Amino acid sequence: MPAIVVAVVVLALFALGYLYYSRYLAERVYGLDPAFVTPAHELSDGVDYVPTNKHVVFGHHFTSVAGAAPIVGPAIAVFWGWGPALAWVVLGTIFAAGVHDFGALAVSVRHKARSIGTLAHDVISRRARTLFLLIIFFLLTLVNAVFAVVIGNLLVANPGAVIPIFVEIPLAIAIGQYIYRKGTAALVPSLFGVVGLYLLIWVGNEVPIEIDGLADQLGFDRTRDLWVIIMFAYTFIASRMPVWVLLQPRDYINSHQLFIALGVILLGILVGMDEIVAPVVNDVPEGSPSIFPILFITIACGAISGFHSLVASGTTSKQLDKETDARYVGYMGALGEGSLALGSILAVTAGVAATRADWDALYVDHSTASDGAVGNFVNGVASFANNLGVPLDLAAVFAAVVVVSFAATTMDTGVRLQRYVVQEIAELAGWRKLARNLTLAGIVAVAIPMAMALLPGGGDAGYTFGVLWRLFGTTNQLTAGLALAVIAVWVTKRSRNPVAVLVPLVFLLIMTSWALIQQLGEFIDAEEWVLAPMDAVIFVLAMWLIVEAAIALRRAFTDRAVAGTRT
Amino acid sequence: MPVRTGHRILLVGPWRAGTAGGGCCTASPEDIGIVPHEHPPHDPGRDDAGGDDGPGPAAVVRALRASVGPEVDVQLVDPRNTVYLVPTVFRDARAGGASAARALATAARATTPWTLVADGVVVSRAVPLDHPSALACLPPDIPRTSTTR
Repeated sequence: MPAIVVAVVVLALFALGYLYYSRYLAERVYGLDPAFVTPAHELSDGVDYVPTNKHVVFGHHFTSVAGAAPIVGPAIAVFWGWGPALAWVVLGTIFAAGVHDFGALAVSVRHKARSIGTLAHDVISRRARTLFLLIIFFLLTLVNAVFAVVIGNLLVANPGAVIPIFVEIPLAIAIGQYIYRKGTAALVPSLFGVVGLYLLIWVGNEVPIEIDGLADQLGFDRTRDLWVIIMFAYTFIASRMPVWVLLQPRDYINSHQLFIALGVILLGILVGMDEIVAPVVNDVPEGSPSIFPILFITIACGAISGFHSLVASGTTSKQLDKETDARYVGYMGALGEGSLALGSILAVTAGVAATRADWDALYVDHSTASDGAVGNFVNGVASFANNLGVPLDLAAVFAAVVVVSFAATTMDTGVRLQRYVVQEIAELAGWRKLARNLTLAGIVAVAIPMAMALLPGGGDAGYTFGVLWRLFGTTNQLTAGLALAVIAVWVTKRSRNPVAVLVPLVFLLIMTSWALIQQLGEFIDAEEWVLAPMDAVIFVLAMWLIVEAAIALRRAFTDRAVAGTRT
Repeated sequence: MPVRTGHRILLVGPWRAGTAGGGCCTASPEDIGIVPHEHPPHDPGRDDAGGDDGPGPAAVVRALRASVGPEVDVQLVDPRNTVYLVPTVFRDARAGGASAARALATAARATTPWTLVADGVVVSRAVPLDHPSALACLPPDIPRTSTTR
């Protein structure tokens, strides 16, 4: 089937979801009121709270939530065939992510633009705030670990990407200094940054850097592990810099790259008219992870991402002019993320291989599919770029640079954020030394994910990337579950029908718990004494979340019944 | 060429932390309910380090809205929000009669922090503005409320 047909059908379904389902949510579930005085009008601090046009807010929201994660999950999940992966992306985006992102924004607007962590405390229970911080701690640990592994794998497979990636750091610092010190426009210097980066792709392709020898001399079994250590050393330093020095200009450069990559995928498909060579449903080898529940935690971002509730309830909700704008900003943001996942599926089913046999070799078993997923995406995008006349070797480095840049920026921010979370948890636990010592908190923020990324064991080949990714997906779904629980309680308290929220909530909690139990058994059988306790702790958090959500929902239904009796 | 249907004023805010992120797998500390300002002031990595001082842009936008006619659309835009900023300024500049090249240059200049754009024309650039100075920068054809005429 031509990839372009699938793209058009999916985008049409997204449009229908926006036109009809988001309207149902706005009118019947969240009960948006155009006359409601939003926090942007009610609260004024001259900094964050300002009523803003919905198109402006959408632009801000989308550039904040769009990233690399919706690429990885779908690139692994097509192992079960492109049909199930695409179905989960489409249904998840329309019926779960849209409900979640839109709902988080709506509930935050009704609570003075409070963040989902604070709302968990206010709407569910005081304990839920601690639960939220613990989930975020594990989530960030796994985010930083998986992206370090992604970068390590890509730099080993694409030595041509090393120079562009590492020269991007001083390039971004120079641009940041120029913009900040000169008070000049950000667009042109950052576009120069993108052009400079792409020139470096040519240099990198001519001068590939491989560190296999160095890794060997230093006693590393895998070259990837040395890259992982280099990346964490870099992020430890980067997390101590003010954001405007490195993070912001780098993020700015990346936001341009995102649109360029999306354009390349869509144009490449259109020009090349590539056929999807992967099977609709793949006949996977015996002993492979089962599609239920693993598919639904493999694709987290791209179907539903808990992180979106953080941005929606943190920054975006402070700017909404009208409550009804939440539909456009929140729901459309989810559709944008789903479109990125669609691009990833097309790259790894139509772009990466010319024949079914070639594709089968790339997805021969689950661990090959997991370890090769990001590389497959890179090669798929390279093929689309090649349709546009870019030489294949340069196109591959270009695609690798896009993914590594995003992953590295995610690590920059993730390690910084984890440092704050470590300090916050230490403060709650009364560990004053850790709470006040920035270096110590930074070391904790780096050491734990680095240990996960370097994890020994798993046989000669080491752990497959898929193992870490599944734990990450599970924790991301738990964050989404917590946000959906907050939304469901709020909807119930307002005497509205919460079914549209409860269905994705229950589905996610079942899939998450099921996956955690299944993985725990596997880890114990394989005597994996690092992963097993981690899985067990995340399972305890999931059970804790289920209990808190059930208690809060029961209370909300009881209060509603009592209020109904009185009237 | 687009036709202007009303007046639009855009205040491009300062270069500040907001959402310095790596996409969908990160957030700002405020997004998870942590206030970085509460962390020690010597923390070189805190998110407001290096930020702008001076009048808050939201306060300036509020005051501008109160000072101009209701038919004038006044918006505060983050300099990072190129998805909205660049096409909007380009369109407004074209509607004002600018050539495509000039409109593109204006759109690029509009991504400067603390820039005021009125109907596709950059009227102040890279200078933190308070309300009176922002109002003084606006072209005379922008309708004012009776109290500010």
